[in-house]
Amino acid sequence: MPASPIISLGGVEKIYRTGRVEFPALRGVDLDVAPGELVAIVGPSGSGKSTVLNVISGIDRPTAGDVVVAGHDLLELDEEQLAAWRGEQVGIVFQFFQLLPTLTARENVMLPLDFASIGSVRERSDRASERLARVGLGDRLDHFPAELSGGEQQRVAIARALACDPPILVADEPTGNLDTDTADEMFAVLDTVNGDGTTVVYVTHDRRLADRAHRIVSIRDGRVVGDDRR
Amino acid sequence: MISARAHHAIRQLTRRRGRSILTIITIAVAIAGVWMFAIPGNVRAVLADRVETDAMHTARLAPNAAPLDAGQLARLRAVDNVAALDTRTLARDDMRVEGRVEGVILVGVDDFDQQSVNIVSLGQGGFPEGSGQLVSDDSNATTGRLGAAVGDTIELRTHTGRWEAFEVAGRGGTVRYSSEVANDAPVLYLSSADVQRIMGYPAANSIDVLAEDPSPAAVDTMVTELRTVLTDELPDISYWDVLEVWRPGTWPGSEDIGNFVVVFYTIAAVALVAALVIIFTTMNTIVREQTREIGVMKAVGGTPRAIAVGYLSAALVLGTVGTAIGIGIGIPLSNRLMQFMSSEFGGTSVGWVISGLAVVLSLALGLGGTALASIPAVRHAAHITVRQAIEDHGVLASYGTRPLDRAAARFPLTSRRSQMGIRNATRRVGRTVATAVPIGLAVATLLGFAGVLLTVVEEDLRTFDLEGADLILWNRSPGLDARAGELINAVPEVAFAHPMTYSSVELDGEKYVWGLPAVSTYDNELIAGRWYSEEEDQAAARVVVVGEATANQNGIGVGDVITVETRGGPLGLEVVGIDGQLVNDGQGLFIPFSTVLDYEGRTTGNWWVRTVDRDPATVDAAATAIHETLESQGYQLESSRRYIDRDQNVRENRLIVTVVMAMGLPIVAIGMIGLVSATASNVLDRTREIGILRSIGARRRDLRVMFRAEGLVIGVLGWLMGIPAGYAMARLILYVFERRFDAAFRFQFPLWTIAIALAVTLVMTLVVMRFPLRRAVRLSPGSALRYE
Repeated sequence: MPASPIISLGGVEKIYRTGRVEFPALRGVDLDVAPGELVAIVGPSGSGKSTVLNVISGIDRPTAGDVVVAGHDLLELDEEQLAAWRGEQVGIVFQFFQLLPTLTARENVMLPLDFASIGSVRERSDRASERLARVGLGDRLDHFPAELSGGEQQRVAIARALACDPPILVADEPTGNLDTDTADEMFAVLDTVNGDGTTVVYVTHDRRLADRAHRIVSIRDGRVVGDDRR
Repeated sequence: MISARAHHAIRQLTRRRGRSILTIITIAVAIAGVWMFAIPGNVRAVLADRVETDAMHTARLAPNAAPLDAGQLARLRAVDNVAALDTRTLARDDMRVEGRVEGVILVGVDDFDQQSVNIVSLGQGGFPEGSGQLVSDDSNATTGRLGAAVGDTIELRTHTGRWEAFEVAGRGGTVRYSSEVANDAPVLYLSSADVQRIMGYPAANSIDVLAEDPSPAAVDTMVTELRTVLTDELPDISYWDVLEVWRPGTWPGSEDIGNFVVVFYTIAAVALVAALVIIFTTMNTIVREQTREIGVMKAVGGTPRAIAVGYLSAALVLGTVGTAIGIGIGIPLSNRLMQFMSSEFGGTSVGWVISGLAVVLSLALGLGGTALASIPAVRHAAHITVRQAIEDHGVLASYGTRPLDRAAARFPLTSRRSQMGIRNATRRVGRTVATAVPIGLAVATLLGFAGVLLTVVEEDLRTFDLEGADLILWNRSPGLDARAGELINAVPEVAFAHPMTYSSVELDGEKYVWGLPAVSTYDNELIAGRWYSEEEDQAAARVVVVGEATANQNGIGVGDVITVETRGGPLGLEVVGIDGQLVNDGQGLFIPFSTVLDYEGRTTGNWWVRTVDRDPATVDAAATAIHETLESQGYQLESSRRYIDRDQNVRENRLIVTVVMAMGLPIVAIGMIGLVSATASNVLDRTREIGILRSIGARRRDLRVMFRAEGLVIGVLGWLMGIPAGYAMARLILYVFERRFDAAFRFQFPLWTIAIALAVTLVMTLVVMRFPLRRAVRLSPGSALRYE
């Protein structure tokens, strides 16, 4: 009997409004992801794949449809509850790393722990150091982002996403800004994280990286047009 | 038609409406401040004009009674340099209006239709026709002292104690007497005959003279000759007041206006500097935000000049709108203040004036200043290369490499959110400093004015302490004699009591005289010579101890013989000492008690009483006992308890402090507008960052703490900048005051004002940051992340 999904999207629609222009990004997406899956979402630019991630992580609210993630109906949570929920349940990795430039690597990783008030300051610092060591940056703890390479910055971003031990990790083009070798290293980190039991959903343009997932979901014009399980 | 590039730059202003509005408000407040420059000049011009049209006297002699006939008046008018001469009958009386009794000054005019000096002109109604009518001074109503309308009835007390009704025939005034309304009591103009009749005066008691040549030497000669003629014509003539002389360019209240000028100019200048800094910051922010777009414009062929012109146009749009609003606020504001000042200091109400100079200054500073403040930003836009511009990410990507970043990283704080706020403040040092400067100027203004006022107020209160008396006693005519003194000294609560008397003399302006015995409660501080002796007092010797400021102003030294003008005529006095205390601003003279009685033609004076322990309860007990004792002996005693007067003085000074501090509020407003604008820009700059923080679990509270910490750093920085600037401002203003009064103040710049300034800065910072912060905390993470 299949495990109940950790992510469940039912008939999700999302319309963006800019001034007088409406843009339908999602037109009825149904998607279930089981715990521990490694899912790649692929599709052309503007197909709506990043929007799917945003809806899963509660960054965007759907215009219509149901979103249940990690046992929570996200439509029932307000922005404050969503922020707290996200901090504990979902780790997010952005394409452009998006580290806070004024914080060191360790402080960037400690930040979600601070927001969630997990442990003492000492415990948070230890935990952040341990996460950074896990992604191979044990010797870069006190470096500011400006002192790190692109690959190193993205690894800090992954360590930050894993800081609170979330059951789900979403990554939007996590290797989009990296060269091929660094991208491979990065994927190896994601693979390890998934191997540890974390559900990983990532968006990518790179067919080669998508092929390394357990499942490839194809999106086009805001609809799921393919779901390839391996 | 304007070019697309100018369109682009100007549309940026509507794209960030909030910030544009704040910048416009800033410029408007500063330009309104420019109108402060116009006030003293305009008030002076209006009052100088009034002095001329009213033919205000150059010199006034105050005989007790001058029953001069037409021939005698003609002789006086024939004296050299006399352009015009009229007599007046001046009196203090009580009036009753709607059952309320209060003091009033009566000015008796010989003939309302034939006035040549201190001309009373009418605003409404007519002059009195015959007896029983009067003219109420315009200032009575404008100051709210007496709102008598034409046709109303005012009762005046006659010397027999009856009340006599007068009808208000008209409203008008003349600058010399109108000025008394704000300072003293309501003024009414009646026929001289009516004043003499109700007061029981035998004749006019004021000879008002307008000189052709107002130079001091010519006036002195004229007055000497007038006195000679008067003594010839009226051998028994005596005077009730000293000679009053108005030097060219002076009038009642001109000195007060002069003192306020420095305050007005300081406020205007500081407001202007603060506004220019904010315009500079705003334009810089606008250009920085659009760096990428500038790159795009350059990539499609935009020349540096074309881009610079576009942004300059945008700056000028802000400048023009701000200037127009500023002028719109400045004209009514300056006119209101002008009316207040001219009525408060000169007893004159003025019509609306639009200063051409202020208009020109407003345009020059509003447009020129805005263009000037925009130059650094415009230059940046013009000179940045396409590559630099396109690759710009809007935030400093190299954070952590500078020593300041490392220092901020080591700042000990447990909360990461507060740490982030502090580090963000160091992230853009230029902007942080530029935001802190207007706050610093606001703090400096508050501290500077507080320093000045506390110093002046402290000096004022020291007069009470130096005087050393706890009770001042006087008797309604004739005075407290030696027997009264014995009774006072017999009261157990009295430690020391002595007679004294006040007087005033003319010595390059009116000087207060304290007629004190050789030993008194007054705490002198001789800086040269000696105090006069008991023998000198008993002998009514012509000796004097001069206040330091008066000595400095007139080059008086110990051993000099000075001639002062008393109401009885010139009096020679030998200077035996110089007193360094700042009683009466160091302008006072100390003359033996008996000497003052002698030249004043009095036999008794007041009594100063020091009680045994100076405690208010003891003072009250002493006052009660003295009143009982003396009144039982038939004395009609009046007394003033100095601790009450001192408290009253403190309250009045507090009011002045509050008013002047309020005048500094526009600068505080500009500083805070700058902070709102900077915070709004920060929120915009870091919108994506807010999105990221929200994505990794930051709640609204976390964002607030972060931005507040940043604002507080800016506030504290502004406060730190404001302390030395405020100190310098206070020193500068007091230096100007000291030069004016030739006095030396004991400078006050207490720590508690600095602490209060910090508290005010922090509270204001937190309050004004609420508005831009709202946007930050309400942004949904999705829109924040998508923000470009």
